Amino acid sequence: MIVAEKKPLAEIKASLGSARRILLIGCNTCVAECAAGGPKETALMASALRIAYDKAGEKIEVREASLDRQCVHEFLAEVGEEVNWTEAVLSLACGAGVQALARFYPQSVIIPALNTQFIGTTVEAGVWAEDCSGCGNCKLAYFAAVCPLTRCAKKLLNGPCGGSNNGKCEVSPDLDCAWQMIYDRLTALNQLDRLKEFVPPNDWSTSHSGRPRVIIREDRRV
Amino acid sequence: MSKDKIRIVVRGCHNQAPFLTLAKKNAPDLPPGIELALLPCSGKIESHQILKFFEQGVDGALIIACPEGACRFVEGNLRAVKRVAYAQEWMEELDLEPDRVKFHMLDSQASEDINEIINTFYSAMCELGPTDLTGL
Repeated sequence: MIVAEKKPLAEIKASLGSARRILLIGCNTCVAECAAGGPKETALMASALRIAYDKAGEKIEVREASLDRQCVHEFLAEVGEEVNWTEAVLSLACGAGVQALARFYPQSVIIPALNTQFIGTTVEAGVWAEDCSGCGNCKLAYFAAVCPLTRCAKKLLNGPCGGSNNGKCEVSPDLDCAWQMIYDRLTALNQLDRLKEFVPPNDWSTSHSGRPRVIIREDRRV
Repeated sequence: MSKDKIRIVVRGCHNQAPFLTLAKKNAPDLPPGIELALLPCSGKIESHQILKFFEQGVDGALIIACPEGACRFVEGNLRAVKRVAYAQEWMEELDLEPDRVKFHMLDSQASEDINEIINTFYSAMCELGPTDLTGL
């Protein structure tokens, strides 16, 4: 899932500028799971904005909507009427959702309410951790499904570095050593021999550092 | 528009017998401006609902929960206390006094007086005064 966090309210207010008819659009997928932009958070943000402007003695109209997936165009049409009414749309989606709205509604002001952080997992209730860098060249098969490019502070593909202590990374005592996790999982899977394999340097040309990536599947196109 | 009366809301778990009794009687002995409502569990309260109270012009919100270890849904009261804390973080960001929201685990075994708890909170809100929100 894409994990995000809310922006400070002051930043959001500044971005909204002089807009006084505001439509908040949440997203019911990733950002709902990470409690940043689902229906509850959209309601919270709507109340917060109403309170903030009320305190400032300014009148605003705030409407709320929530889409199943803000990054998929088919869902965006649902809010067409509301978007036409608004002076600014405040999107509680990830950066992709914000830009999808902007593509779909080219005449509308679209403001992000969240800072998109990473691709991660829900480790436990209320804890989300980064697990994938989206490098476009997945090597998890080498590492018993623990990604050292993301979870090792040194991004070592042929580790460990020797700096771990009791399973914790030397960079921070609250950070699990990815290579300890790889070692433990390979041991459990009886695949320790995999550590003898040399893993070639990552091909970063498939990552975002190359250029914005596009995938085209002719069989899925209409 | 400024308010001349303090309004508070009290939301409490219906498994708390003293609060259940009080809410069913519609609190005849409490000052006006106090609105009581039952929750199926204090864990049903959400941060956005707390903020909504203030948006609508309420001056204080009191959440009554069961004591630790006594929640019928095991951890509803533990969830509620965190949601109240999260709502208080938002209130700080909004420059509203976080003390306007109070979470109280009612220890009915020790025969705490629910009326007294509500009255004390109401008095504290009267002292704090109304929010400067119009609640429109």
